[in-house]
Parts: sequence; C-alpha cells; structure tokens
Amino acid sequence: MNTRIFSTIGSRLLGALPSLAAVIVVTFVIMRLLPGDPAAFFAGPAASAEAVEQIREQLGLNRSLPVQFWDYLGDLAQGDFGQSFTTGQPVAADLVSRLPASLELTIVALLIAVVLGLPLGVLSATRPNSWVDQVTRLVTTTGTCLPTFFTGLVLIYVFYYLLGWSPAPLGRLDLMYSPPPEVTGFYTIDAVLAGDWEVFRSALAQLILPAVTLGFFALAPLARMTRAGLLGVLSSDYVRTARACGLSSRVVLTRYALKNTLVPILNTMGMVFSYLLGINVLVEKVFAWPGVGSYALEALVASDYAPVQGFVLAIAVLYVLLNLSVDIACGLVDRRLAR
Amino acid sequence: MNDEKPLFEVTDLSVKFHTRLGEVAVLDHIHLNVGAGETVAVVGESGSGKSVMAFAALGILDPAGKVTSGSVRFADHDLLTLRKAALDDLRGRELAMIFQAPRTALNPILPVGRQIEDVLARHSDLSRSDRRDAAVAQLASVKITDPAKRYHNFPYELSGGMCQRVMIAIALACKPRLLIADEPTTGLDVTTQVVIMDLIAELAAANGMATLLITHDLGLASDYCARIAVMHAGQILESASARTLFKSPRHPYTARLFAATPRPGATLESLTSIPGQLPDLRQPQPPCRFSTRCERVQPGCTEPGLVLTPMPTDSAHLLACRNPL
Amino acid sequence: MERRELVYLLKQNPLTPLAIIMFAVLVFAALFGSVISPHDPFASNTADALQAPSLTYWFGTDQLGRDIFSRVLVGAQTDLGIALAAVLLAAAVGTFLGATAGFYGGRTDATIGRFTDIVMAFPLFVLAMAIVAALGNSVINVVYASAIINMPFYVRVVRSEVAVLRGAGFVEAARLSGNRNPRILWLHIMPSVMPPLVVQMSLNMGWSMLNAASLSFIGLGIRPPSPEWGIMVADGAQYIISGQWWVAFFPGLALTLAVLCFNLLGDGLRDIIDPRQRK
Ligand SMILES: Nc1ncnc2c1ncn2[C@@H]1O[C@H](COP(=O)(O)OP(=O)(O)OP(=O)(O)O)[C@@H](O)[C@H]1O
Ligand SMILES: [Mg+2]
Repeated sequence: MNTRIFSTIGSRLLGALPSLAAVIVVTFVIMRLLPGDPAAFFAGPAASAEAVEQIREQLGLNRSLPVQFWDYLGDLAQGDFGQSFTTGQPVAADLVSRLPASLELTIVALLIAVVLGLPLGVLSATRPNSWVDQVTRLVTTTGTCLPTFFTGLVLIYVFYYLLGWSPAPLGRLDLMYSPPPEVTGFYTIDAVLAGDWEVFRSALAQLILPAVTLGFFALAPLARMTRAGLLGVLSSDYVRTARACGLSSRVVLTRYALKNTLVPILNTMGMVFSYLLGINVLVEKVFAWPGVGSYALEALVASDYAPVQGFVLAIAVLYVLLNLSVDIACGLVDRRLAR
Repeated sequence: MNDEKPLFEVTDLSVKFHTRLGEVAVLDHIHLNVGAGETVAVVGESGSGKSVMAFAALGILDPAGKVTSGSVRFADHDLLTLRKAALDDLRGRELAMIFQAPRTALNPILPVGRQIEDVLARHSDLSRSDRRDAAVAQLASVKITDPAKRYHNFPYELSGGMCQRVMIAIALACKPRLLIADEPTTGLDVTTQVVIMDLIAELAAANGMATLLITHDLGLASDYCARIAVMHAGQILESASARTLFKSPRHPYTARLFAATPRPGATLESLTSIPGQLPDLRQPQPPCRFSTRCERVQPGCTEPGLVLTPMPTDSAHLLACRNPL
Repeated sequence: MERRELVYLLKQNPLTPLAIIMFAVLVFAALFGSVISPHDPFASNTADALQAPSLTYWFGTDQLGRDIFSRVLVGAQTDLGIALAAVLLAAAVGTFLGATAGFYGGRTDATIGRFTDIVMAFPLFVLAMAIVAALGNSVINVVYASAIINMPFYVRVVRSEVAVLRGAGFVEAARLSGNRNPRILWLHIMPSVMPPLVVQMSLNMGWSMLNAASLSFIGLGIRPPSPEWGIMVADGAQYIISGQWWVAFFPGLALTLAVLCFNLLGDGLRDIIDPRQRK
C-alpha cells in the first residue's frame, strides 16, 4: 500500500514536468517579447551605439534564440534569475526575502476561507433554503463580484479611518517594532518562536485586514463548491444506501458524504490558491505589503523586467507544485484517481 | 391470505414530486402487503413508480418527493410517522433494501468490507475485530471467493455481479425480516441474473425472511414469488397469486404484460408489445391511468371511484378494472 | 420551453429580472454616458477638489475637482468595451479551436489541448500581467491578455459539446446526405453548442471586467485621464485614509454592480438553458 502511494507520487512528479517546461518556455518567450532593448537599458541613455553593442554581446543577446534559451536554462539551473537594477540585488535573493510575506498573507487568507467556507457550504447543503443557505448565497454572490482592491479599501476606511481598530495599512509590522529573528519568515510564527508577544500582536494586527480581503474573495468559490458538491453527493445512490441501512446522520455525513466531496473541494482549493497568488499583487499594493507581488509591480512600473520575469516564473512554479500536491492528495482520498 | 396482520403493509400510499413543471402524482393510492416469510413481486414498466414506492416506505425519498396520503406499517411500527432514531434502528436491521444499480449504490471510496462493517457497527455490539470477521464471513455467505482479500477492494475493482453480491451482503448483514430487492438483476448478464436470484431466494429461505421483489420482468416474478402485484403509472391494477395471475389474468394490462414476456415454448412472433406509453403524469389523469392505452376502454372507465377490490370468487385476487377480462 | 416553466424559474430566481434591469442601465450608460453626464468628465476645477457628494456633485469630486458621477457614467463605456472585446475575441478563437479539437479529435485535439494546458499552468492574473508587460502597456494589449486567459474555458466547453454531438444521429444523417465535414461542423453541430456558449460568455463578462479593472488598478492598460473604474479606484486609494471615501467608493461600487449583473445574468441564463445544473 505504501509502495502504491510512492509510485503515485512519482508518476505525478513526472506528470508535472511538462507543465514546468511549458512555464519556463513561456516565460522565456515573454521575456523576448518585452518592449525596449535590455542592452540599451543597461548601457544607459548616454551610451554610444558601440557601448550598447558591447553590452548586447556581454548579455548574449546577439546570439541565436536557441542558444539564448540554452543559456537561460543554464542560468535557471544555477538559480540565477538575473539582476534587478532598481534594488541592485540578484532577483533570486529579492524573491527569497520577499516570498515569506506573500506566502504568510496567502496562507492565512486561505485558512480564513477554509475555516468559514467549508462549514457554510456544509450547513447550507444540509439545510437547503434555510437562513444559513441564504447567508451563504449572499456571501458567495457578493464574494465573486467584489474586486479585492475595492474590498480592501472599504475595510481600511471602516476599520482604520472610522473605527480606528486597525493599524495604518503600511506593511507587515508597526514601525515601532523590528522584525523577529528569521526562522520561517512568517512574522507571526517567528514572533511566537521568539516569545515576543508584542511583535506577534502587531504582526497579526497588520495581517488581519489584507488576509480578510483576500480570504473573502476565496471564500465564495470554496463555499459554493462545498455546497454544490455536497448536495450532489447527498442525493447519490450510495448515500441513499447508507440511509437505508440506518447509519446515523453523522456517519452518513462524514464517512459517506463529506469524504466523497473532498476531491472537488481540494481541487477548488488549488484553484483558489492560484487566484490568490495572482490577486496578491492587488492586495499587496493596497496594503503596502512588502511581498513578491508589490516587488514585481514596482519593477514593472520602472520597466525593470528581470524581477517581473522572475516573479512570473516563481509564481508559476509555485502553482505547478501546488497542483501537484492537490493531485496527490486527491489520489489518496479517491484511489480511482491515483491510477 | 390469512387473518393475522401481514408483516409489511402499504395502505393508500400517494406520493407527489415537486418539479419545475408543477406537481407530479407519481404514486396514486397504492395498497400492498407482504406477510412474514412471504415472497411478493411488484411488476411494472420502467417509470411506473416501483422504486419510488420502496423509497417512500423506507423514508429515503428524494427531498422533492412528498407522501400525500396513506401509511406504511412494518410489524408494529408506522414507518411514515416513526421518529428518525427509531426508524434508523429498524432500517438495515429488520428492514433492508438492495438497489437497482449495484455499482453506484456502494460508496466508491470505502473498501467494500468496511461498508459491511459500518452496518454491523450501527446495529450490533460486536467488537471491532469481531465485526471484521463477521464482514468477511458475510462476504463468504454471498459466495464471494477469497472474501478476506475482497474485503479490501473498492467497488470500482469489482464486477457488476460482484458489487450486487456485496450489496446483498450489506443488506443481509443483520438478518432482516424483510428484504426489498429493487431490480437486483438489472445490468447483469443472464447467467449472473439466475445466480443472484437463486442466492437471494436461498438466503431468504434460510433466514425465514420475507422478500419484496421489484422487477419489470413478469417471468422472473412468477419464477421466484408466490404473489404478484401489477403496477402501472403509480397504480396497482391487479394483485394475485402467481399461479392465478398466470392462468387467468383479469386486467387487460396484466394480460398485455404476459403477452409481452418471453416464455419457453413461445415463438418470438407471439410476443406483442403494449401499445402506447406511460401517461404523462404532469397532466391530470383519469381514474384508471391505463384507460388511455386500453383497447377495452368503455365510457364507465372515466367515472371516479375506482378502487382495488377483491374478486367475488377469490378474495386473494384483487383487481381495479371496470371492464375486466 | 413552456410558459409555466419560465414563470417557475423566474419565481425561483427573482434576481434574474433585477439583473436584466441592471444590464439595461449599464448598456444605456455605456452608449449615452457622455451625452447625459451632468458635467464634463475631463474638466478639472481645482477650486472644487475633493468635494463630498452633494446635489451638484452627486458622487463628489476627485483631487482635480472632476465630477465623479460623470466619470463613473462615462467609464462604463471603457470597462464594458474592454470586457466585451476580450470576451468576443476569446469566444471566437476559443470556439474555433474547441470545435476543431472536438470534431477532428486525434492529434489536432491533443495539440490544442496542450496549448490550453500551457495557459492554465499559470495563475491567470499573473499571466495577464506578464502578457501586458511583454506586449506593451496599451488598451488593446489588455484586451489580448484578457482574451488569452479566457480562451481555455471556451475551448473546453465547445470541445466537449462537439465531441458528444459528433456521434449524434442528426450529424450522421447530415453526413449520409452528402454534407462535407466543415459544413456539418458549422451548420449542423454549432447551433446546438450555442446555448452553453452564451452562458459561458455571460459568466465570463463579469470576470473579464474584474480582470481589466484590476490591470488598470495596478497601472497597466488604460492611462489617466481616461475615466475608467479601476484607475479611478486607484486614484482614490490614497484619499481613503484621510476620509475622502467617495473618490474610490463610487467607481468601485459601479464595478461591483456591473460584475454582479453579469454573474446573475449568467446564472439565470444557465437555469433557463440547462435545467440539469439546477438543484
Ligand atoms: N426525484 C424525482 N423527481 C421527479 N420525478 C421523479 C423523481 N424520482 C422519480 N420520479 C418519477 O417517478 C416516476 C417513477 O419512477 P421510479 O424510479 O419509481 O420508476 P421505476 O418503476 O422504479 O422504474 P425503473 O424500472 O426504471 O426503475 C417516474 O416517472 C419518474 O420520472
Ligand atoms: Mg426503479
């Protein structure tokens, strides 16, 4: 049985390789399409045509595309994502230092969505047309049409400006505090590990509004999918069998219905996570959150393309890995999918 | 039928479904009973409401369906008004059902042995390891080879006939007093059909269990059941012992059904189909829902007040027809 | 469809008529916004900068003293236009690819499937960002980017419908009466694919509007001073923490309602067209 699980994971890993290759090729193509001439860019406005040509040669831009692609692969293999001229740092280092901020935000948002969305979905599926169902309908309907940047601003207005409950929306930590010693890069966790409750409180206070903004957006598809999936399963033949056998409502709901809804829920969670990775850019901008999204955005505005490309690649790879874990989890729940 | 109360008794049962085209009267004042240890068949075309009747009796109707009249009694219990906890104590223990599509009726992501165990866990106080042994024994009792290994299989790893055996094993796990078998052989090849039916009959006889067989196959019904009720578009039209019905059907529909059933010795040409199709139940129906397809229809057939009544000659032979054969 | 069925559906989903009304308002604003707007949406008037909503300025004024109501009204055209262009483009190309894949199967199908897989291998908003960054920061490129990330959905919907219908009786009949392949595909199969396609388009409109507005919110696509809801929210963002909520609120609300309108419309259409999906 264990070997089966491992062979499943192995085959899934192999299956993810084409996606990974596609992601790399597409980012390369996109980089080639970028407007402007990187060589001229690096050389600066005052450079002579010869100097630009020299830099072009240095950067390898005069070689044929296949050769350039090969070089690009070599760079990636060494973890070289190029250089950001706005920060003056290697893009890889920038991404690594900013990724935890984005991940902390996204994961907390997903947690909020799961903790609220699944029960809402379950309650509304088991009590169709009750008030819970109506609330769920309202939440899922509004959740899918509220632009996240707008939700974020409304929350800031209400909780910061009107009520004064939230700190100013300016990053991960109040200016008074310095970040906790880095272990995971997640300020909340690191603060707990360091036993520094004040920093923890500040980090949490900063985190809540952006996480709720993102989480509310993720809530809708999760609750909707849970409800629809569970309704479908509850009217299935095998749930009827379980009822006809006198199994208790609790067993029918958990062992027969919910477990069978888990696969669509897991898939939706993967999809939602991918939304969140994209939408992060907007929320990070609204809340001045120093993650990879705002990093890419600042670079984009300054026409500094290496960070943008690194960002796209990093997010896409993250997404491929995420889909991989979703696939594996689904295969463990439903063996039919593991074959 | 003798004087003592039958084990299972459906009285005046009506069920309506709420659909987007309005109410659909799927069952129309059904009467049916099954005595202890008796084998009874309900026969009717596809869509006539046989499954709905069984679901209504067991309280597993789709939420869109509502019982609008009648009662269902099992032993001393009124199933339709019983509290859910009490009903759950009965279902699966005294009163069990096997379903039309064995493959989809089993939980796809739970090993089949565990599904038997779930029923045992609900209705017995066996220990965990005893339950496991009992589940394996139960698989063996429905003649599954290598039951200890099959215990771990998922439904998708089993053939249709195998799934049906598992379904039977689940239903009979607690030795119920009544088994409702809803077309237990659809989707199976002819040899497997016979094997499965023989298995059910054998286990029923061994346990003294009453069986309500739901089928569209009159031949199968008369082979395995002592009594047959004929259902059409949610109405019971005729009910009698298999022999009586076979020898002298009184309802035109029953006669038509027999004419449409292949029998040994009959040629293919002698088979006739039943004209027309089941009426559209979304429209208002005449008292006899067969009248629109019936060649013996007469003006009196549209008058209200048609009920299933015993024949003067044979009180066990019930008929609902104004112009019988 | 019978009339009582329609009545039943409208009773079940009373929001559909509301969505139809909202849709009418939206289209009216997009068509006649510049004619009926009470003020010039471009005229700045620094004396009246950041005025709260009043009888003169229903939605208040922005930092340059421009009337927000007029700008929201005129912005409808931009937002709706971009989304519509993106959806039409995605639907046209996606339908063509999906129909080809579903009808011919085999290697064609595999190639087209690979292409959609590649698009789906990215978080879609990030891909849209990258495409706009790559093609250049312009409105038409926002349309292309939105179309590209929408396309896989059409390819899939159309592909699966066509693949089922390919074997249907009426297609066989058309083939036997001497019709040639492309003729069968476009004349006999496609009409049956239209209903799910229309539902998909309606649901997609809302999503495309969100995408386009999000891109302009981060400074891609439309440039100021064009009145566009995403940019207007971005402009108003800095005034939120000083209490001038109306600058960002009204364009954001307009966007939300427009997306809501298309989502409700899509749900309603799906109920009417495809009864199976409704429980
Ligand atoms: N959930 C439901 N909603 C609406 N109508 C239903 C529902 N379930 C059953 N019906 C209707 O009830 C009628 C009887 O269905 P039922 O499944 O009992 O037929 P059956 O006699 O068991 O047929 P079969 O031999 O095909 O199993 C059919 O006309 C069907 O359309
Ligand atoms: Mg049935």
